[in-house]
Amino acid sequence: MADLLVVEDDKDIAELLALFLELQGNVVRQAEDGEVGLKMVRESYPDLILLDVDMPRLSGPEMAYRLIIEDSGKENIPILLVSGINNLAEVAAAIGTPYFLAKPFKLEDIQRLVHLALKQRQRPRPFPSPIHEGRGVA
Amino acid sequence: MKLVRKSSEATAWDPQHDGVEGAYEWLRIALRAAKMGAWAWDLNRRDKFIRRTEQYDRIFEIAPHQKWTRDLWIGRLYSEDQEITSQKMESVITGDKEEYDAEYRIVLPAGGLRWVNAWGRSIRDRAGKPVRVTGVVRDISDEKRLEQDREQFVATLSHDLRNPLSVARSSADLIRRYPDDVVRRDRLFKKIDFSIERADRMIQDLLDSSRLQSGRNLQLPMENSDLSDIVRAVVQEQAELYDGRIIYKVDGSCVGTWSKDGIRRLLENLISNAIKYGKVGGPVTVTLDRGAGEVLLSVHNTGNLISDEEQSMLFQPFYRAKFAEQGSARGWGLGLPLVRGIAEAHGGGAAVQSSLEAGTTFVVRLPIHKS
Repeated sequence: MADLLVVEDDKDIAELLALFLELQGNVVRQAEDGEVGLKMVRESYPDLILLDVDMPRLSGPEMAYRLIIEDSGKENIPILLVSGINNLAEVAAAIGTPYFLAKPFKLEDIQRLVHLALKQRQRPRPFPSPIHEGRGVA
Repeated sequence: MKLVRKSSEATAWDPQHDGVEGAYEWLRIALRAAKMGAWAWDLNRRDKFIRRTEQYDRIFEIAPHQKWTRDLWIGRLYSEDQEITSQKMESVITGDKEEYDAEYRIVLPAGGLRWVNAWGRSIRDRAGKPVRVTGVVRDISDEKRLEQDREQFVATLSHDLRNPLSVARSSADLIRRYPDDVVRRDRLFKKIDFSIERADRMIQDLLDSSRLQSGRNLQLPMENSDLSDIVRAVVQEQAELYDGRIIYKVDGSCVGTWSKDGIRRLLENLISNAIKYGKVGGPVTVTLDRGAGEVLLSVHNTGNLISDEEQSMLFQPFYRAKFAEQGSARGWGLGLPLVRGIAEAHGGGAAVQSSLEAGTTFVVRLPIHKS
């Protein structure tokens, strides 16, 4: 049994992910954006964060960077990115997490990656300069 | 120099009648209509001087009598484009290539970038050595912006469609895994239905926007009903979604011919914009005012000033206000064109007012028709 945090602004997706992961025997908390997600992590550290990328107020990558900056063990929490953006692999590389899954996902893939992340516990190792996805300058 | 008529366009100009002056006038008209600047480099001049037209000066933002040389031109090229652009020019100067065609960014004197497209060709002497390169240059910043907006739009669209698909797939997956849980199964079936509806609504929005963009009106089925009932129902649904942040002010009934679905989409768009871009946690007020022969439906939020310049752009497809670009919330840039299109399909219109003190209000004017 693991303590998981789902940070996802789509209520239906968050609810289904939580339901599935609870049926697998985990304890699951839900946050609707990065801001709420941060607050929940500060309350108690989860074993793994399932993190969406595009969210109002504070995006997934921004939340990940905040965790790393805030330090005190939060930077060691593994992150599984779950998102429908086109350049998900790039964003995952920027945060430095090896765990990511594109929407629309299959639950068996969620199960497999959650299992893998909990076993390996690889923490995010970001690039020196964060890449902010989706808003090119030029 | 002997003038040879080569193409059908050339025959429109008669050298006997028009002379060189006439040809020059035609050229000036053509350049002006195409918003093109023209330039010429005499390769024999040691100072690498560039002759150019007024429009060229406007594009590069150079003073009319300022000396302009190849080195100054290279100095204006945006660092990322410098190498490839000057290489292309070099190959025309050396005679390796006949034509020069480049898209590059220039740095403006006051800062900021401008995209230009330049095309030119070399003129050679008897020995075949290039002696001059002449060409035209055009500001393509607007086209580039549109291209980027479209790319962004496709990215956002595919992202947003993947959400209802995820819900449908996960729900189906859960039903398959736990077939005996009847209560949960019914709820999951509902989620699948709802997701398909959601995806279908997105597609409908997309089709309607493309209709509006091609200058056609929306075809909305109209029926006799009470507008205040339609508005109340939507506001109630939205109030549940947004935890009571929505205030509703309406008095009396308002019977007329309305598109129920149209009004619903119009209001959903305005309310979700007000929630997304208004002050965090701030109230959103929906008001229905009945006047003589028309109603004004308005949605107000506090925070986020929209400048006068932006107000006029907001209803353009793919346009996204600065604060919308900077925030984390992503949109298609199609919501407000759709709002205006729906209002116009009712014979009305849509407008926005915004100030620091009063906040932002979108007002939709709908004439009351009765069939």
